[in-house]
Amino acid sequence: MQELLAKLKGRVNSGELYRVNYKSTPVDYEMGQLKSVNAEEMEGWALRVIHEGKIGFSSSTSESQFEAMAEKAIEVAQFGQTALFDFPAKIKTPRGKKIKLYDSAVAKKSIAEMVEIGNNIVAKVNSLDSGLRCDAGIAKFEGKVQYENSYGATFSYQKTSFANSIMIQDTQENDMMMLMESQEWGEADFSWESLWSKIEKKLEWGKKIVEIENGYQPVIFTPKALLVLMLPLIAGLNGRMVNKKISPLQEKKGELLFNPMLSIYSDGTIDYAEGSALYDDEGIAMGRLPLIVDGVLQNYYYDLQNAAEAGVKPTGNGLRNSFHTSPSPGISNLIIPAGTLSFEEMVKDIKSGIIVDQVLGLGQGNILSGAFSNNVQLGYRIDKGKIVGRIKNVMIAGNALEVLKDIVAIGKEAEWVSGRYHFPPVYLKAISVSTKD
Amino acid sequence: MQNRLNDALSGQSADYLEIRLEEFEANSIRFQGKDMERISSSQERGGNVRALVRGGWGFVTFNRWEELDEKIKEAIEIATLIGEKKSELAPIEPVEAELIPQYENDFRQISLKEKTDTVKNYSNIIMNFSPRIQSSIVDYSDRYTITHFVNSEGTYIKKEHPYLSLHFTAIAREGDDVQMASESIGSSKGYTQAERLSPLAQKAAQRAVNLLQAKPVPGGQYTVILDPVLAGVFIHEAFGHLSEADFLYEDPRMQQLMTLGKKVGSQELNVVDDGSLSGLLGSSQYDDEGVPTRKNYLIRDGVLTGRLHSRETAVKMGEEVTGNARALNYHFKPIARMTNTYIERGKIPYEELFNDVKKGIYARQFYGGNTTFEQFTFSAGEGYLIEKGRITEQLRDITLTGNLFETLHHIDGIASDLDIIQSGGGCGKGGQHPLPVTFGSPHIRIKNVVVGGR
Repeated sequence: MQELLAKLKGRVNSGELYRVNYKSTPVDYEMGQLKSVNAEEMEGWALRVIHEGKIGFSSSTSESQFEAMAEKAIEVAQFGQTALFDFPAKIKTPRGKKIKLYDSAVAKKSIAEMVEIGNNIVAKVNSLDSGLRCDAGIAKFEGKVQYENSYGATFSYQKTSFANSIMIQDTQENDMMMLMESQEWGEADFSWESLWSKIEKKLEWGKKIVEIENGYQPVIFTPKALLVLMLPLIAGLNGRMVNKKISPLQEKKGELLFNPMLSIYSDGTIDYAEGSALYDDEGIAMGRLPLIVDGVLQNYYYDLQNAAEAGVKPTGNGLRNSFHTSPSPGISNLIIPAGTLSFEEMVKDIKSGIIVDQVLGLGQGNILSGAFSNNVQLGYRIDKGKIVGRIKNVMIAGNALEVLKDIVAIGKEAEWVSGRYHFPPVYLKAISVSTKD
Repeated sequence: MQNRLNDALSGQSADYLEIRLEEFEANSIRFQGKDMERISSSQERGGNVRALVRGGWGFVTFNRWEELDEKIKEAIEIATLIGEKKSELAPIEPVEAELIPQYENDFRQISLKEKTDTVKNYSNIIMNFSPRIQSSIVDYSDRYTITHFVNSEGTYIKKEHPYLSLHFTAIAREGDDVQMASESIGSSKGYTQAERLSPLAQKAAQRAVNLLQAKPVPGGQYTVILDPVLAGVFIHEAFGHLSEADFLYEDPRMQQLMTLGKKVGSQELNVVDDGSLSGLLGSSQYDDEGVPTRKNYLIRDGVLTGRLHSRETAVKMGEEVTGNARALNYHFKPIARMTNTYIERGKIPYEELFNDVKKGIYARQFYGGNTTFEQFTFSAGEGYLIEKGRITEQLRDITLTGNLFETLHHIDGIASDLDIIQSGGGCGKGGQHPLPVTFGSPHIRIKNVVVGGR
């Protein structure tokens, strides 16, 4: 990379080269049958330059295209955004902290072993109820990130990930129950027992379809469903949105905005979590950034450019969606510390209410305003402290920034969702629920 | 190229093999507010091999074309490892074709400066629209893709594919209330399209400002009238996805729900998917398996009459191929997808749909939609309360939901004003997003729709 960067000398003020390559091997089951195995290889190069105070960016899939990439980056820099930062002269590693990202057991997993896992999943679902449709995916991922800039600052790391996803469907005349569960993690081993006991419970709760009433009622969001309420916060705490004055959370630092039970962190330092890395995609060490603590807004999250614009230190949140795009503020892993009430106690506490486990239309609508309005794709009714059945044709709606003021309890059983969100169940006092008359 | 690919395929031991090589050049420009937010220029090259051996698929993607021979071996190896049945693909005639679109004002000939100025101009239009406009995002992107497709049956298709899109988002603010509205276009033609969009930029700004005055919709069950945009989203989300045969072909219970000949709506309801229409975003002469596209009636006179197939799903369901196997790019295999999907026009002027609505919602434009086959949901970009046949006040945060089969039966009015929407977004399925599609409809009226609200 050094040699390539040397070719920029005298042509730009400074430059940064980012390379990612990965191999991923997904094994897919449809209708309980092994359907396909893929071997996916990907390589990407991204060049960002600062020239005459402006930013240029170009990407490609091969180092052999470096010169074309350099020319493009310099050309677009003429029109580019004004650079308020420069690339780091040194990559600073926080002392004493090593983050585990790579498990050689994942890299070594053979297709045969993955097929065996898939066969076990199918057999298990079949043993629960032979009428259920089961689709499953088992995938391993192995990637490498390399970074170097024209000041000689450099880093690289390798990362693994192993994912198992299960979709169970029960189709009856004009009713379709669909349950989706998955585990994604940097290590190859994880607990199947807890996953199956969760699935069995949910299938049991869902056997009977029950009616509910229209109107405001208590709602428990399972960890899987909580993203409905978190997406508006993720958007509103983004330093870019704050700089552009379009965040409803701007100028609210230090204010009590939510129920004091709620704390939220962006934490890229957790071993084997999907969003973890030693550094963000601009070479700034990842950390545990408090966003909300005891209901009080503590920090927004930033990349280099937006931190400079705001006049604050970068927070290690400069992330790339892919090698095609330049870094922008992003969340590493989103963590909500668990509370004290068990899920059972929450259910027991509710006279009449619902549990939301899966929604349709996540992120659809005007997220920035905090508004959410979703079909409860999988949910259950609670009647007199007991789960009595599955609900259908139900919408929940509200404003996340409002409803998070009225938290009754945060659950004590936190779970990883998509390998990057560590959420407990959250029990809210009253959400608007609409259904058929 | 054709010879090279055919050489690579010869002498291989698979029931079926195909190669797709792809390269593209892309530019993107984003203004946020009055400032350049980012600009980039990219090039990419990659490919994939798909092998079928005894019913098992091996699929391999890569970036280095020079490794093609190894990748073919790898795909066959994988397929051999998992194949344990009979391979079945619907037979098609091999074709040799070079599809090179003819159009004026190629965006590859336009300078980055000119593109930047165009985007900046739109950004200024939105920002200067009203003091209540707090910010704006204008995204321009263009991409010119060349693909080579070859299979072991003798098909070779070279496709050149221009794609250009512009997205306008206007963000209005009053105190802590932040509202946004978006408009977009997508096009598979030249740059001229991108130069005529000032009215669209203004429309986004106007809608965002209007939303500040709108009240959140009260939840409940309503009669709704959908404009052609939202009705198009509805038919795409709620029905179109259920017509894609890959989720049905091995699932007997799902097939029962979707038996051809089943009455699903009123006599007036006709739904079409047509990849052979000329010049639309979802159009192409051949799909990504080399099957000719055509006009497919999914619903005719209210009766389920067809669905969307890949070669594998067609043969397994004993039906004809339809030309609907599409792949987003070389990272993905072709799967059953929509192309241009629409509800055919009805007979009455759309104003008449309002006449006997006592209390309802007129829902227009869209944020997005989603489905799990039976249940669907989609969000309106704006909406109005209808009282005694008249529009009274503006509403917001309108998300509609329902059960597909009930809802199709509840369509009780189809107007005559069909419009096909070429938006800059696209359709997502199995991680393949955004695939260029169009959707369309006349205004339609639906009874008993559940709307979420506060």
